[in-house]
Amino acid sequence: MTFASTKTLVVLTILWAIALFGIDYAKNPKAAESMWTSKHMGESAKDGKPIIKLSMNHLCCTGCLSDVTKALEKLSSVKVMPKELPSQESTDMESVEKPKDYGAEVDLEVTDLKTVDFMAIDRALRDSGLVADRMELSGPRHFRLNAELHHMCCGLCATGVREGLEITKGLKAQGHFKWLDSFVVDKPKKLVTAHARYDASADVSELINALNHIGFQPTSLFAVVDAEGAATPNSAP
Amino acid sequence: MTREILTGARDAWRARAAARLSVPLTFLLILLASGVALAHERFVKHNLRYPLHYEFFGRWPGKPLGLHPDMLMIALRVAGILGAFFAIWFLRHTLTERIERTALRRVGGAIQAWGHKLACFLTDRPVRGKLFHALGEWAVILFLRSPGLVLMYSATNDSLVMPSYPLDPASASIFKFAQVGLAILILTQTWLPLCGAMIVGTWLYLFRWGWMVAVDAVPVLTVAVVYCTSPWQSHKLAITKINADQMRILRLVLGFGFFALGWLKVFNHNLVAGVADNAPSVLNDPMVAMLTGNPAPTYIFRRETWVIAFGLAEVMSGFLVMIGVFSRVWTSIMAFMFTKLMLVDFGWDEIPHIYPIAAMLVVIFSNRLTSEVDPIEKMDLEAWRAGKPLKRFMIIGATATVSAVLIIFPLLYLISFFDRSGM
Repeated sequence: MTFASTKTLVVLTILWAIALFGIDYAKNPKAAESMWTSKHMGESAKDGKPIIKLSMNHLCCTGCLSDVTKALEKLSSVKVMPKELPSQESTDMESVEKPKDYGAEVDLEVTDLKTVDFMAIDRALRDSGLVADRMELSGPRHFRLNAELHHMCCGLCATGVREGLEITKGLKAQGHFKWLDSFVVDKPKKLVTAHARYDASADVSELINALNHIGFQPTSLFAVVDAEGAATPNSAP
Repeated sequence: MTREILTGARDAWRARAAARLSVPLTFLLILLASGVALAHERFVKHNLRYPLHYEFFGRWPGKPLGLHPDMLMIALRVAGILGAFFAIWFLRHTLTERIERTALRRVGGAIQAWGHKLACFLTDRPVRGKLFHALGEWAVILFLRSPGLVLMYSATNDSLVMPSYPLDPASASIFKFAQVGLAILILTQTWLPLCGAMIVGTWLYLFRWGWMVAVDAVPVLTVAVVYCTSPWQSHKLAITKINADQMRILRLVLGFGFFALGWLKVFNHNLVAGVADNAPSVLNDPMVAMLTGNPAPTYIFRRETWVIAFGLAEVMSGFLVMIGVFSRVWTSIMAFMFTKLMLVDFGWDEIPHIYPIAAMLVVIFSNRLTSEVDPIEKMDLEAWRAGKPLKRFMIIGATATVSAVLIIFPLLYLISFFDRSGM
């Protein structure tokens, strides 16, 4: 039997630590001093500009994009960012080559996140005849999504929502709801609050679909960025 | 015969290796203890749902030690328990002998035998019994392999070592594969010294995220002690025992880890209170309630006193495990608490607690426990044999009082000068 000497152990330890620091540095190049600045683990140093990314399974040409733009025009707090797509005229010709993918992603510029109702975006898109497969919100370091469930008439409804959403924990292992840290059901306020993990891009559609799946349709769905305590400054648990 | 010689030689080698390893580990612990508080935050699962009353944790001019009276009362209770356990530790042989010779002898039979075993268990003496022995072997197997499961779980949750440390998306894949690789080595018990070095190296890397993250992860080093002192051919062995030297370092690291974690809770009160906000059932813990005096739900400082009591309870239990005073009793209490947190309060999210529970089971079922207060006990024993009860009383009283006071009050007093409201 051979055992590791102290020297071997120290060398292996240091080499491994250097390797981890090296990978970290190579993947996130930054000045040496900023490597040691305080920040939450796995989190950006500061809040980024909020961006909503719509993943549309069908967005083949400028005509489709124009419908999306027109549908979201009435929502003052979001603006569709320009995107290069084949023109409607070219895709309308008989000789057009079939694309590999009919879908595309659209970025929405957010002017005031507080006033962005994701249900309004979803409704506007559906009314235009299109639908977003995913609505991903990214940018703020830490936020939560407040979904108002107008129909939460009794304690059993609240329990149903709570138990129904428990499935999200199991789905994490399959790659769904990776962004979700936890959720809270507030019956008096008729709210479901989904807390996103730090630095996560939250797929809002995933939450809407989950609520639909358990039988509820959110009336409104807003992202809240302020401190959790700030919403109820004088309350005590 | 040859096998016995080989085993003896191997144990001696392990003992030497453990002793040599204790030098860099002690150095690391000193380094950690004197760590400069530059960086300041670990990953916080949630912000506070409701603001704390920060004045509670600060200075209270005119009050004893300048601390809030309720905080001082909790500290006094903790110091009292700490002192009492010290005193009972020195008197344990006298007490158990008296009970065994009087009450248990009168009862006799199986009850006497079980009473003797219980006395041995409570006073960290070897416990004889097939079941105890088998459980001890099983605990070692679980302890050596459980980090592999935790690493696999963390990798599938985009985290590093613990689920509360999310990985940076840019480097997540590499770190996840590295964790899975390490987990495979651990689960197959291959090159355990390398696994130990990788765990210590990963812990050093955690300093990149601030000293609080590294302090939070100190208990992870416990298993590295056993890995580093195992042979390279570990995959060919069934490691079911931990020798006395390994156990001593394991106990020191485990105890120090929880001692440091306790102070971290007192220091970083927002994090702990944030956890309580998300799992309010933890506020009703009976052990913590004993220290807080079980305040009414409407009491204005309920969460604040809970934070202090929770932190100091961990300081006390960690310290007693570290110095080997009623190690089995305290690790049993801690194992119970962790199991309760995992099964009742937090649920599946706390499944990685299997690892610290396994570490505690190893201490609970070990028959090779030692204590760091043996030199004082020797003095006490000499005084007893010399028939000097007053000297004995002085030794026990002074050790219990000085330890209890020094462990709790200086740091609590010092911390109250720091404004931690913005953490």
